Amino acid sequence: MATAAARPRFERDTENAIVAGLLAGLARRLDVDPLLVRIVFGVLVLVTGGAALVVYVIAWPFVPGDEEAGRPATKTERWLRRASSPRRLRLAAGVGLLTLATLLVFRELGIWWSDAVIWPMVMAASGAALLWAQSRAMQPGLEVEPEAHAVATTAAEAPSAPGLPAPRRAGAADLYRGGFGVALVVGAGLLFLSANDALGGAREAVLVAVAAIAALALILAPFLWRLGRNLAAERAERIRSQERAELAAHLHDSVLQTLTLMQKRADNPREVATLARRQERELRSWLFDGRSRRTASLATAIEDAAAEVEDAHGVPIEVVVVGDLELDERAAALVAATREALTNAAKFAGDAGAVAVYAEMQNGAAQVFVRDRGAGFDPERIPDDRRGVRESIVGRMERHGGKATVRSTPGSGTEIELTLEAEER
Amino acid sequence: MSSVDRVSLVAGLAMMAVGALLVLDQTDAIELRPGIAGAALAAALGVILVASGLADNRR
Repeated sequence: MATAAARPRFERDTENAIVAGLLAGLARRLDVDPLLVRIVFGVLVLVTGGAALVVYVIAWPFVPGDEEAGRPATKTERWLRRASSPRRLRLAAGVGLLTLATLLVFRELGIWWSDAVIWPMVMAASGAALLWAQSRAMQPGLEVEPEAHAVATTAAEAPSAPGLPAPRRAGAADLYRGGFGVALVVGAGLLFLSANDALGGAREAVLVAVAAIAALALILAPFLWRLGRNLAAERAERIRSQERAELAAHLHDSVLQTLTLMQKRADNPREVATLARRQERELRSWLFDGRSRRTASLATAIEDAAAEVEDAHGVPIEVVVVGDLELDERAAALVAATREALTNAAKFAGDAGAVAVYAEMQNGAAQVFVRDRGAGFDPERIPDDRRGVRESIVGRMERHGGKATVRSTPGSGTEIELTLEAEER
Repeated sequence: MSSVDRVSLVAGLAMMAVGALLVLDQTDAIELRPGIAGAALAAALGVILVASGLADNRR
């Protein structure tokens, strides 16, 4: 028995779109000619005095495009998605519209000062808020929210290396937002002058200022352009250097440590084969699955790391964990540094008895202590070619906004304190 | 039972409220001045956007 073909979902038809593809998508859903739907819509716009057009604009961001079904999005679509997707932008726009609605109600009720003052003030405040948010987002050290990063990352821009902090992608969207903020503030000033009949006198001065600014822009544009390019290149180099350091730290912690263990246990082929297989699995997982994160809990991850080191080195490790945190990028770095500290303790102080780990997490902050009763060492006298403490512990913590303190004196054991302060929201 | 799509629910209610205002205006039950109509539309759109932003936060 033949079954009727399923009707397509209602989504914007970006391939046959004239504006957003809403009508073409509706025609596809209804299985009629798009021209027919467009004629009906045109009539509706005329009959409703333009209200149908407002409905079209409102529906635009809420009806998904068909690019998810395999069709590539147009440039306009991609720009709109980037500009409208971030959650904060929608929240800000929503709050802005609610404020506007409140102002309009006050105006209708007569609780109002003057149109010539209030509207320019509202425009200037909106522009200033936009610029303020923009300048805050551009502060060094602030990372873009994960969602926005996911939006900005296209399929072609796969993460360069797993486990690395996501670099902030300041691009055209930032420029548009900044430009819009400036335009709002300037527009507010002009509106205020115009509404208060002060623009006539100021026109000549404004013309002179505009001419001077245009001339300056023409003179400085090449230098500013080059400066911007240099800054971007410097930033890219810094990110690359951070990626290299992170890659080196991971290889040191995993592959080099395993090779050392394999050399030590060369007389036991089965154990060597087990070590090699485990390392291969871990490396494949890190390279191809993004990261070897099996848990979302920092406490569990620390306990897992301790268990792995205990298995690998045969040294008892006593773990005490108080509280818990979500395992994000920074917490994952803390786990990796803890694992390296434990590995060092097991390798160099394992004969002196159990290694102790004490971890405390609360209010978004975490503190981990790794103690052993070994021979100890002088942290100042670590050879330059040894990267364990310097890069995998201290460097890694610093790269992720944390701190590592090594307390050790020859003959009295070692204590490594790893601290991660609560992240500012 | 499928979970409720809160954004659609809020959007539907907001549009119903705006529609109700327009119907009341057409039947001369109320006099909808342009300022109030604009405020109602802005409020409806604002509520939808806020609901959409908050819904993403809960995912």
